[in-house]
Amino acid sequence: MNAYARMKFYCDEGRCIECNGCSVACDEAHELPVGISRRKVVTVNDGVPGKEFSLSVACMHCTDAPCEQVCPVHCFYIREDGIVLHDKEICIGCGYCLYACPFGAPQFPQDGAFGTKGVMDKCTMCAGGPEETNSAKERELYGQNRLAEGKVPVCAAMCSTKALLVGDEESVSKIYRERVMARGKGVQSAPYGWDIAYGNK
Amino acid sequence: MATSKSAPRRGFWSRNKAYILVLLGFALLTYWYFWLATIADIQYVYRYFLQMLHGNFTGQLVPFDSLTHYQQMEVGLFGPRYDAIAPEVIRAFRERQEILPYVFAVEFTAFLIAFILQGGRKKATVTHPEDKVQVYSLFQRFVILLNILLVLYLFVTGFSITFGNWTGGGLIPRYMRMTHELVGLAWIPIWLIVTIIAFKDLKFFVRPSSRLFGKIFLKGRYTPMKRINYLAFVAFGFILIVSGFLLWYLYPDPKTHAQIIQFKRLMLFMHFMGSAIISFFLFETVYTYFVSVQGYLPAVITGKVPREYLEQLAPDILEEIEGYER
Amino acid sequence: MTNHLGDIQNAKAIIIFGANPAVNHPVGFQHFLKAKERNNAKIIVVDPRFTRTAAKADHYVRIRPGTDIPFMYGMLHLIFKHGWQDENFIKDRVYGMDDVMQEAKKWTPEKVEEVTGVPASQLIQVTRLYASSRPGTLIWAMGLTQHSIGSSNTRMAPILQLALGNMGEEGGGCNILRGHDNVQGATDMCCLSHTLPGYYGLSDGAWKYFAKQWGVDYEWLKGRFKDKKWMNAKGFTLARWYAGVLAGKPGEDNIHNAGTNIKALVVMGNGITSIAQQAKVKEALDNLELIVLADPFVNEAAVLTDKKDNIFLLPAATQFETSGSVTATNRSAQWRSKVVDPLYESKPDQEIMFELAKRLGFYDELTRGMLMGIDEETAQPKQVKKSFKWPEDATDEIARIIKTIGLTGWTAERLKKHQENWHMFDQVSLRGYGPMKGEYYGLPWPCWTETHSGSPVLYDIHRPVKEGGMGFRNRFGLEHDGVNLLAGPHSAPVGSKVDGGYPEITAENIEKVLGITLTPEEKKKIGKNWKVDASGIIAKKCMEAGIAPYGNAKARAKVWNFPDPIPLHREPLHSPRPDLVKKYHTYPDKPNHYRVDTKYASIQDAKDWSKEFPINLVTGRLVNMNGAGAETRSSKYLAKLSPEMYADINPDLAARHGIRDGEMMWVHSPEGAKIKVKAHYTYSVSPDRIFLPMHFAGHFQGEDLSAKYPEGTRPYAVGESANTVTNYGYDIVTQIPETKGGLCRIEKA
Repeated sequence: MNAYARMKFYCDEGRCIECNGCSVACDEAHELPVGISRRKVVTVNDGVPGKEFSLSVACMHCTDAPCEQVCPVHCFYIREDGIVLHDKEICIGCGYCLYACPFGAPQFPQDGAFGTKGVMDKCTMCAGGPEETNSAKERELYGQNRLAEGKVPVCAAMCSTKALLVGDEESVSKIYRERVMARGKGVQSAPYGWDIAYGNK
Repeated sequence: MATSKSAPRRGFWSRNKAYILVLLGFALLTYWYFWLATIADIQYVYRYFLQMLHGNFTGQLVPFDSLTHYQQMEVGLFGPRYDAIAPEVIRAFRERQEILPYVFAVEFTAFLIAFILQGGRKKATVTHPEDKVQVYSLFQRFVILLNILLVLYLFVTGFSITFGNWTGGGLIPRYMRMTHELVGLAWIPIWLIVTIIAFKDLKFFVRPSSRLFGKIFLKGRYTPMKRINYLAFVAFGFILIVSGFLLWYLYPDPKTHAQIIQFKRLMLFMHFMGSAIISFFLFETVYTYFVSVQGYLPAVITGKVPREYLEQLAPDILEEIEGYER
Repeated sequence: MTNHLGDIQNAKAIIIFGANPAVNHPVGFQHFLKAKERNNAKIIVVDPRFTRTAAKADHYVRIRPGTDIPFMYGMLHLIFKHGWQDENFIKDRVYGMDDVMQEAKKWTPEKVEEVTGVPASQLIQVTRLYASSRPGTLIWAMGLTQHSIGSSNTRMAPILQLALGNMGEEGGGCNILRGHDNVQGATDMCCLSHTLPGYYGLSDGAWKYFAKQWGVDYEWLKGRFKDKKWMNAKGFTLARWYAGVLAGKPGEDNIHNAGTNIKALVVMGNGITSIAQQAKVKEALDNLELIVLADPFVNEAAVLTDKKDNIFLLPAATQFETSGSVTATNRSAQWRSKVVDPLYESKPDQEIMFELAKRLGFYDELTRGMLMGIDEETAQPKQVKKSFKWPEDATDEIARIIKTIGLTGWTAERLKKHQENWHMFDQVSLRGYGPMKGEYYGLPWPCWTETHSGSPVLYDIHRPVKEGGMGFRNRFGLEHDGVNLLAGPHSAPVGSKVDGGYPEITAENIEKVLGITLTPEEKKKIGKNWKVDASGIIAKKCMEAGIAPYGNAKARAKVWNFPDPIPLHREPLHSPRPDLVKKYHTYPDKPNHYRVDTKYASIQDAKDWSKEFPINLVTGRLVNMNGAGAETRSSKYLAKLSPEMYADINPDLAARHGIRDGEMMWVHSPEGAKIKVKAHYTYSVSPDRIFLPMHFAGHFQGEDLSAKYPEGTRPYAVGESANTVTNYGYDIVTQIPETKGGLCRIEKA
């Protein structure tokens, strides 16, 4: 049994209304360049009655994260609570992680020489990076480290309908189960993405 | 012409053994790779290729509407069939990083053995070093040398990504990776020009008549192994260029990610394969031109070669030059 | 809103007309989703467009723009036919429902289908569901109001709720979602041209009451007008101010404005591109002598106009640089603290107004109201202090004066307490607990006294008046055409001394209605009626007796003083159905409508508009934008989500015009204006209509005006304004523009 809680994201497609509160909050909180979308909201079947739904997605912080496996320079590291982070000073911006990622999480700023890809940027679950916690350098490279300040990641904090949840596995699963029970229909086997991100756990 | 006619007719095997061996090697490699070793869904990849012929590059083989709600969620957000290609891309990368050094070592050993069996470098006995023949025009020298430089650079920077566990990442490897993309772009026209001017088999169809012809197209005829090297350069260079260009051109865009990621995975996979296979022929080319024979590099740099050198090591070229002089 | 957002969680059915809360009220929308999730509430969305709200609904009804009245009559037809109505409620608490029943008889499902385009079977299905799931709440917003028959629409919806007995119920009610921050407060303070603050109107009595409370001389106030007649006359509206400038030019509407045109315009934080007829607005701006624009961002008016001189941009402070109370959509007040001091040379709005008043010489009169208090002895207003403290004294002044909607309890002190303790209130019922017990969050008005709890649900007779109960207001006399207008027996709020209807309370009838005797001293102090009773005696005595000071009457389904006593369907001025125009003809032209002669029939009859302009035009909001968008388009992260102006278009329609996804297209209006926008393929609109977001500006009829922005102020996103092509057409009562049901023509650019 792990001494640490396993942190997970979950977006409830029954509640997500594509308000983009999460993505704008993320952009704003971490002062991201405009070309970067650590978190994005996608609407599927736009305008088709009965079929349209929206979902918010970012790095899911997978167990056995494929990005970590594929990184040639081993810039990734996985915290004990499951948060997948990376070191921007090691990253060479090759983009392998993007091809390996099931969720399209890695982002690449167009700030390299002659507009080539810069180093990878992705959702940190508001947990910063390998630099000193809450240092200016960490903030500049990775954005806010809200977890260290005892705050909820900004996307979930901002979610207008509480569709997007983040937290330890047990709490998130509990809310998910409660909602499925309350709806009493449309039971699905698992929250979206969890089978890929976290295995069948 | 007279010399080749007078040469004794060799048997089918000795004439074609290079092709047969390479083809056999490829067949074995292909069989091993696609039927035994791959973890990609080959059926999917095959159907994906067919679908691309119809202009649909998304990789979504069954109609989106026919998917379940849950499948639509995943496809709509992340792109289709993660399991089909991505695990292979991940594995291909790991194997390249871990196994390729051994493969390279084996290849080097093979060339070393060939070198020993051959009994050292082939040399020409030159008694009149001042009697030189212009073999390469300025244009040809420029193109060949540039090609050598660029390929060398692409090779080094490309494998600096693969062997990131050796470089350890950081600023310099990052710049090498960035310049890999840009130099790769610059290599596209050079590759095209080399492909054209090194097409020595053109002489089966066109008789080299004018001096201009000789200034553009490389002189001489291919031996089977050199022909294979040329064809590999063209074929795998093409794969590298197309896949590399598309990987560069389809800049990661969060908005279109789900639509293009599967295609990009395929391209990356092809880039991987292309680079692994072309390296063998690259080594082979380097061995053939630079290691096994003495004097190729000075010849390409100066463009001039002693007549005796040609007489002994490349009579086909001398014959062609004499054809012009006549 | 008669109820509040949290209360939507109590609903069993939610029907939404012309509102898109998922986009326009995303945070409030969580209550809709929770109602669906926890209460198994059915959500029905009636909208011309498949919105994000519709995506979460159980039923989506695609209606033709401007045909909400036939749809609701269709519902009523079925309700009355099957006896689903709440008979007792109608008998005791509604006046004039018989006329509605007569009209509803005409609207058979087949006829409704013919007019609205909604299949008869769907109407039956939706009506059965809504009528059988009670309480049901009815939501609307601009999609219902912005029509030439908008005022009728907004009466039709409550009639539907009254018929089902859904008014005054938790989980029921008519819930109008206000679109902007503090727009309810702005309305309550009547930043409008036809009434004094608190809906007191413009009568002499109202003016005199305010003169007294403000501590200014009535004669002085009168002297500010050209002559007394204009003191009681309605002014121009936001929708038609341009007519006041352009009148006299050929083809323009005549005005009645004391023989002069409008010469100067002062705009305080209003987006000019949110008003229809922008080509006219531009022309009017060009013809003004003076334009003053007070805004934190560059107001689009400055960019739109070609005028070069006498335009002043005043940097106004944002809401974070000032404090005070704002009113939420559910009539709750919320105190807001200052976060930072105003940056650079920007000033809060009130300071700009104070400075202006100083220069114009009436600063003392403007601010004296904040120095006033009530004399204990006489219960008359008198000056009690030398200087005022902004904004506390302004808030207290409002509480002291505004009785009509019961703001007496909204003192600055109480509102601040609510702000500090907002964790002590229940989300669903708004009830406070702990130290806040006995109060509802934000003291939703009417909050009759300084100890009153606030009224979370209007017209709710299931709770005592002291705890927010009340009947309907007695405002229009005791009887009409021989019918008693007071509520029937057993329809008083619980704990009431009177079991049934009673009139509004005045000094004259208080003893009789409440069955009490006032002391001579009280008699001396008491004001004439509950609306002007500065002493507070009426409110206090009423609370003790469980009586709502404004009376307990019947709700009027029939409004005899309106152009249509009961709501009638009338086709939009620009209708795609010329055959229906003859049958459901609009109003005759209305002279002197907020000082402007406004055209109705003469536009509708001018020609068959649908021949040349066959496509319906609907405008609306985007989730990342607000109003005219000067503020939101200047945020790079918000602009990133919609960097360009576009039109939602059905692929079928686009293909007929040869327009591909992402290509530019022209949209032409019947008035001759045009805009160039990007086509965005979506099935959310049907092939007979297009949708335009209303937030863009910076382009005008294909011309890029970016160069006109002062250096460094160009927003990240600029584009054509949808309101350049919204059609002529204004509501018959309120003059709101008809932006949600016009016509247009499209072509490939």
